[in-house]
Amino acid sequence: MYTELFKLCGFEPDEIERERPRINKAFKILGIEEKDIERGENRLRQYLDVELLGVRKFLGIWMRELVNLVLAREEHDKVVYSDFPMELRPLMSMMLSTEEKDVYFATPGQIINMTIGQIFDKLTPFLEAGEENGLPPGAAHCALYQTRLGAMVKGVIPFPDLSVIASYHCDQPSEAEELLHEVYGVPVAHLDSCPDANWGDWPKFNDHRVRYGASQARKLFQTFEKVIGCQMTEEAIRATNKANAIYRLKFQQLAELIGHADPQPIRQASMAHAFFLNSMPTRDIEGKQEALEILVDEVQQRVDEGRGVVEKGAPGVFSTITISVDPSITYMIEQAGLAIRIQIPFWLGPWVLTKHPYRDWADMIGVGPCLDIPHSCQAHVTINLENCRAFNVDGVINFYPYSCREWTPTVMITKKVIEKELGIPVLILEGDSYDTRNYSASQLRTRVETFAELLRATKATKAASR
Amino acid sequence: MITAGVDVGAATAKTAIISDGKILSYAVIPTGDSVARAAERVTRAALEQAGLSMADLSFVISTGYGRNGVAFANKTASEIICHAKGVNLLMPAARTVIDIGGQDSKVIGVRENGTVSDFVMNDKCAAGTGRFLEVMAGVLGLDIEEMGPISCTSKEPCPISNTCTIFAETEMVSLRAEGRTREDLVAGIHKAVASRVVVMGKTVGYREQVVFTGGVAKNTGVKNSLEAGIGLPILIPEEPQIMGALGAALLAKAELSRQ
Ligand SMILES: Nc1ncnc2c1ncn2[C@@H]1O[C@H](COP(=O)(O)OP(=O)(O)O)[C@@H](O)[C@H]1O
Ligand code: SF4
Repeated sequence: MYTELFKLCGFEPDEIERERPRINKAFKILGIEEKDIERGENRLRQYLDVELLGVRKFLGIWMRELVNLVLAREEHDKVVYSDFPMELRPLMSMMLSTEEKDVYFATPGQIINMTIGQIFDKLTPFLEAGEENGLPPGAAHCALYQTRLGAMVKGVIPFPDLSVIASYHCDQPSEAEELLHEVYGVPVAHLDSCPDANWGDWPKFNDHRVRYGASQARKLFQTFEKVIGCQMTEEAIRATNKANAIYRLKFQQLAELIGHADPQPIRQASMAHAFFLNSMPTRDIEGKQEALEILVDEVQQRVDEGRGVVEKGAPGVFSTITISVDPSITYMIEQAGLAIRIQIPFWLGPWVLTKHPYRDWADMIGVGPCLDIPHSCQAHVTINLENCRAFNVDGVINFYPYSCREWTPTVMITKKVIEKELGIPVLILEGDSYDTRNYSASQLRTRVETFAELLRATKATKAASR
Repeated sequence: MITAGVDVGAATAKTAIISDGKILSYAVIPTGDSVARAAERVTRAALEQAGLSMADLSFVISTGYGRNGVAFANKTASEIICHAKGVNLLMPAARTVIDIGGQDSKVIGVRENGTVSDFVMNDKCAAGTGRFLEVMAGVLGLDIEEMGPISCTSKEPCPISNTCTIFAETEMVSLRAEGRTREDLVAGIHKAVASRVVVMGKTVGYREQVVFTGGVAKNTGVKNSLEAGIGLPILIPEEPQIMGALGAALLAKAELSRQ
């Protein structure tokens, strides 16, 4: 019943056969039925560029991880979890330090969002279970954490032996993990940070803040060694840095290729699958690198042939929508005839790559994808502005995710600064990054279509006056 | 060349039929439970008034939240663009449109040629919309048409502190228990709706002439509160509810000429 779905996710027929018993078991636990599979296939075809092998291969990595996650307890000695906004490198180094032991690493919230949410559109039971078991609705809890808690209490995924969590941008992970620790007895390794930088401080951080961050990192690794019984090895750290740098740079190349192309060669939702593997500790390091290499070649081919998913000459926008659970909003923007040149946080500006002082101590920790979305309001605004400049966009679609502490504080300031500095319009779209129950797509559509019309008219006027 | 605009909103469905830039007829009916049925019925009603049939329509554009459910439309357009266009025909000096409908409210900046220069729309919350007024009318046992005239006799509008429809409903009950008059309550409700919209629209700015459209523009109480809020006079077209449909019909005409 799911052969076609798995083919769309890059599985070869023999792998589907070989994995059938595991998939059957995992889907039964997850409650995935025939109608869900049909919906999944339709959504993949509608929202993603599944005709590209690179995209299918990325989807395959997520689907394999979903099955691995559900069966983790019966297949592995120990289970370690993390989730956004934890940076990948500490996790990956931990994972690579455990080669001798049978330890499974995952970011379960992310895996469930990208598969059960984005592909199957079946997140509500998990959200409700999270809401009923300690993260109630109406209290602005982050749906990512409601989902992962819900999946655990429903018995769909195991409780971990250790949860590794960070409070880079917001208090929500720490709060949710405190609950996991107090109520469910899960050991938690917590990376604290001093997030509140003064306006004007970024990108400089004072020594005290850097030292504090480093001391927190040491504490984190000590807890990991105590609970899991593995020493962090130099070799693992080196291997992590190397693999991470290679992947990140290639991804950067892809983001720039798409951002400067006209017409927009692939859907931004397809990019999201590659992006989120930046922070997902999969053991399939070679697989994700291979998928990325293939995707870059395929996109290059489309660019060379002038093929795209949006009309050539379309107005270009910078968008800050999180394409994790719901690919329909970015799809709606593309359908309205706007080319999404760049999607934050897919691109690192050179000013971040070169100037960030965390690099001095934090080749190991603290930066990575989080570099692009650092814990400073001023940094948010600056990075948004620089993204607009770098890709010469005609307008901005700035997302306002209700319960997100990280994004919401800077939405209005970003609008003001961009409109003032660049003289381009900024549309604010309210929604939720991880919970589609919190907004109505039809209401967003009116704004997006009007905004598209507005940008087209402005572009036409500019062209006529030239 | 006869064209039609069909605006299916959350509360009402409207059709305007035009020929050479002149309104031939229009109709307004409640949307009810079926967008497709409402669109069909309201268009037939407008056609009947003009002594026309579906076959006489050269081009139809649908708008409003139900725009994708209008099977006989040749094209769709967003209601923000349509409202600006419709107002521009009747009141060419308008530079700002405040549209308050059943489920949403918008402030639209309009250029001389009727295109949109900027806009803002309410978020998912029902406060600041016609729905809020309907719920409050229900609580007070009034018809929606009575609200405007009643509020005009208020001496001291009650401050309504809750912007949430649900909370405001309970607040209303306790204010009534305190003995506040119906007039003051209704005036307070209008002030609450207006202040939501006034604040929201500040990002677009209010430039004269300011025109008020949508079903709520029929409520003089809301109009007065909006005027007090923005400090500018507000004009209302003769039939404010059909501006979106009229704009759609005008866009349909433009589309035909282009083809
Ligand atoms: N005669 C009237 N007097 C006062 N308010 C009215 C009147 N008719 C309609 N309304 C208000 O207008 C709202 C509907 O506006 P409308 O523009 O038709 O909405 P939509 O386009 O969203 O369906 C109703 O919720 C009601 O509050
Ligand atoms: S319940 Fe209140 S706050 Fe919530 S959407 Fe409705 S009116 Fe708005």
